Amino acid sequence: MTPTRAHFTQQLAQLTEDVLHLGSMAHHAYRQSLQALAARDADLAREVIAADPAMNRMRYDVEAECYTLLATEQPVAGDLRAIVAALTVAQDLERIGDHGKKIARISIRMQQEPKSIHQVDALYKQTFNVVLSYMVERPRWIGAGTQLLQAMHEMERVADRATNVAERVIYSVTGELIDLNA
Amino acid sequence: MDKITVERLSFFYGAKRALTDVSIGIPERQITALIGPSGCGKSTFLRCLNRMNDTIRGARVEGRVLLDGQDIYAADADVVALRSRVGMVFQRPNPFPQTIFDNIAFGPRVLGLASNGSLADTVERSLRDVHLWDEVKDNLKQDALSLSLGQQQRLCIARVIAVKPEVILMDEPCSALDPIATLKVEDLMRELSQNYTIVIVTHNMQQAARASDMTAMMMLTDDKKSGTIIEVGPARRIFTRPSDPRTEGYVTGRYG
Ligand SMILES: Nc1ncnc2c1ncn2[C@@H]1O[C@H](COP(=O)(O)OP(=O)(O)OP(=O)(O)O)[C@@H](O)[C@H]1O
Ligand SMILES: [Mg+2]
Repeated sequence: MTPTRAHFTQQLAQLTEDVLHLGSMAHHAYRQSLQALAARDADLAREVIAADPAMNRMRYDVEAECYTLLATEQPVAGDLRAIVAALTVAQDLERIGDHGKKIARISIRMQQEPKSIHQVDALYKQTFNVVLSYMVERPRWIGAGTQLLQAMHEMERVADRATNVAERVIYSVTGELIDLNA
Repeated sequence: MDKITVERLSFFYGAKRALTDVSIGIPERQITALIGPSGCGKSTFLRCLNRMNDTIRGARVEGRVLLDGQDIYAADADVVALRSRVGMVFQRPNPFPQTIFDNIAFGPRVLGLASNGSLADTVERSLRDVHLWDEVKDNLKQDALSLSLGQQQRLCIARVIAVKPEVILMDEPCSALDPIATLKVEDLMRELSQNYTIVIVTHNMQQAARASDMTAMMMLTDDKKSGTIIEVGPARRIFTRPSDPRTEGYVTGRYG
């Protein structure tokens, strides 16, 4: 039997590549935002914020590619699942970029906090409750603690998004929609 | 409930084996689509379901085909009765060169199903069932061949249901039709499936995906010489996550 639909196969490969590219952009932005937070590096934070529009564009480009393939190629089975997965994964990846941007903003706000890098770093490693108890015991840390709690919330959302991406990958490969949080 | 049960059916055109060990249950009042590459034996299989292959010289069947539990190939089976229970619609509309009325009346007359009075009723009901009545009611004496192809195909479906079959077999019934006429036939199949068991052969993947409840994938077996069903399941599963990689390759159009 001879392979057919070479053009479509190539378009699907391009789509996968674009999603992976968006993924590495989001990954990079998120890591930089954590670095900016830990080091309270405002320049790095501004770099993260500046990278966001490119990820938004990339996500809409991926979406447009998906819609075109759905409308013109009538994909089914594994092809359909790959495209549907790309649609939702692109959204999650772009949102991971958004969370990075928010963490970057928090790190800029924390410039005003009278804390040394080490203290921030130490606090950052603690859990929610520990941060809270620090804030209760040491009222002068309330400002920094509040910012960190917000940053931790963003990190948690990133973890949720990452779980979504993993679920979509499983769906794309096996056709099974499972809840990894269950 | 399965209307038809096929058990390890093999079919031979003389020395040539066309089907090997085909097994499938065809659910009652549902639409079952047969898909698969050209030459894999879809039409041969469909014709086995109402013994249309009997007339071919040297044709031979192994295995069993049960209609409501009765083997249609049993020695005492009544082939004429079988064909009135299991009707067939073909790829190209094939109305008789007669009037619209006589086309529909043909079966009931031959089978002695209707007196002259109720014959008109049967014709009207059959044409209404295929949504052709309003288009032709003033021209029942017109030659059926003057209808458009889409209308002719619905006429042929009306001709089949006029004899009140239980099963309707359709071999690529839309391949000669334009997209709108095709969708009309699909809508019609959907409605008819409330009362009839329908088996359709189609090369149109979108049609199988849209119009069938169950989809069966046929292929030539490894020796490349005879066909069999390799996977069967609800259409929604076959078109979202088929389990056999050969089905995946076929429905995604990767291999012809
Ligand atoms: N009357 C016949 N005598 C001998 N061989 C036949 C006859 N009809 C069909 N065949 C052979 O049986 C095999 C299956 O043919 P069949 O027409 O059932 O395939 P199909 O799946 O319906 O193909 P298509 O999609 O092209 O209609 C083919 O190899 C064909 O050549
Ligand atoms: Mg055929």
